[in-house]
Amino acid sequence: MSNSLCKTSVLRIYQEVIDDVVSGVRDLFVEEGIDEQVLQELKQTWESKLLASKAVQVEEEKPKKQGNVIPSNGFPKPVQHIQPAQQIPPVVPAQVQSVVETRMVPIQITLPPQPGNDGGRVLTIQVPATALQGNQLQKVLTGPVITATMGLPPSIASSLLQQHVNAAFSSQQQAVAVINRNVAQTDGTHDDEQIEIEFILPNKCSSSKSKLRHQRKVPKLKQVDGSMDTSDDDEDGSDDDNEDDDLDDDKDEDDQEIEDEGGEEEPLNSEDDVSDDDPTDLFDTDNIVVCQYDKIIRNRNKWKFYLKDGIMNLNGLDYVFQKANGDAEW
Amino acid sequence: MSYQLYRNTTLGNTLQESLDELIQYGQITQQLASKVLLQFDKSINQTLATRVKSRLTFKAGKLNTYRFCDNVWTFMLNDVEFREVQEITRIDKVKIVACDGKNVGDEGSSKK
Repeated sequence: MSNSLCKTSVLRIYQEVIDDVVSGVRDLFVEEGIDEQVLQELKQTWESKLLASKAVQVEEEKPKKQGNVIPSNGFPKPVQHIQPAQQIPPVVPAQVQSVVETRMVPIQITLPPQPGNDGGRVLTIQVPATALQGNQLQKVLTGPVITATMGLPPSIASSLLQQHVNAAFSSQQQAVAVINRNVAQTDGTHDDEQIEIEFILPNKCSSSKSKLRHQRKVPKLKQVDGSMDTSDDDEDGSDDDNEDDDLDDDKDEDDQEIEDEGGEEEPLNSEDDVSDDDPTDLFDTDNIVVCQYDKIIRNRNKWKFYLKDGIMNLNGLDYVFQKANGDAEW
Repeated sequence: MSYQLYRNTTLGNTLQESLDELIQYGQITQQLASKVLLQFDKSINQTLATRVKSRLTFKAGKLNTYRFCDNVWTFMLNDVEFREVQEITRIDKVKIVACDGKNVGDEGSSKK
C-alpha cells in the first residue's frame, strides 16, 4: 500500500500532530519558566527520532534532517538502530561550553601485520581532544578492541573503532558524542594535526589458533552495539559450525589452515552484516494496529470489525486510516 | 476526552523518548513531560478524527485470539490482507488494539 492514501498521508498527519502539540504546550513551558529553546529542541529530537525510526516515508524536500542519521562508512543499517538513543540535538544549553571546548582530532592507529594481510595497516579515527589528556584513550582502546578489528578490512575496522570510541566517550560526555558523529562523516578532512598511537600487541598470531578464532568472534558483536560489552555467549552458537569444520582440518594441515581462516574471514563478516542490516529482523515482530471500534459483530465463528481512527505499524511502516472494516473467522 | 492508547505508536513512542532525554538532562520535569503527553493525546485523537480520510478494508485468514476487557478489544489476526482500493499489504500476524469509538467526546474524560 505504498502509494495509497493511508501511507502517503502519514507524514502530513504526524507533522500536524507535532506542530499542534508544540503550540499546545508552549504556554505550559512559559509557565514553568522554561526557555523556548528547550521546546524547539523537543520538537527537533522528536522529528529526528521519527525519521530515524524508518516508519515514515520521507520525502525529498526534507533533507535537513537526514544529517542526523547515518555515518556512511561501511555500516549503514546497524548503526541507525543504536543512534536514536544517542541522538541529542546539537544545542544543549547546559553543555554548550564543553561543546565549544571539545575539538575533534584525528589519530592514527597502526595495527601490527597479520597473516592473510600484507603489512601493518594504519587506521584513522576522530576522537575528542580532551581524550588525549591522561590515559583516557588507552583505556577506551583496549587490547581486545584492537584485536577485534585486526581481522577486518581497514575501512570497516576504522569505522568500528570510531563507533567504539564514540560510544565510550558519549557515555562520559554526551555533548562530545554529537560532535563526534558529525566529524566522523567528514572523515579525513582535518589532518592538520595527526597524532600517532602505536598499540603493541602480541604479534605471534600464527602460533596459536585458538587466538585466531577468538578474533573472529569478537568483531560481530562490536558491529551491533558499538560498545565493549563482553557477552561472547551469543557468538559461540553461531560460530559452532566453523569450529567443527576447523577441528576436522586441524589434524594435518595446521599451517595451511591459518591462511584459510584468513581467507574465510571476510565472507563470514560480510554475511553477518547482511543479517544485521535486515530491518525485518528488528521490526517484523510487532505488527500493531491501534484504533477505536465502532462495532464488533460476531456470528458463530464469523467476526466483522468496524474500526476507525487507526494508526498501523505493518512491517515497520506506519499507516493511518479513518475507517477500516474487516472480517475473520475464529 | 482523549484516549492514551496512541502513545504506543511510532509517533507516541518517539515523543516519550524525546521527553525522557530532556528529563535526564534536567531540562524539564516529569510533571511537565506528563502534561506534554496529555497534549499529545488530545492532538492525536483530534487529528485522527478530523484530518485522516483514508479508508481501507482487511480480511484475515484466521482470528487467532480475541479479548474484551475494560471496553478494549484486542485481536490477534493471522494471514491478513489490508487493502486500500488497488493497493494491498499482506501480513502474517497482526495485533489490533481498539478502544470504544463511541465514548470519545461523550464522556468528557475517558482515559484508557
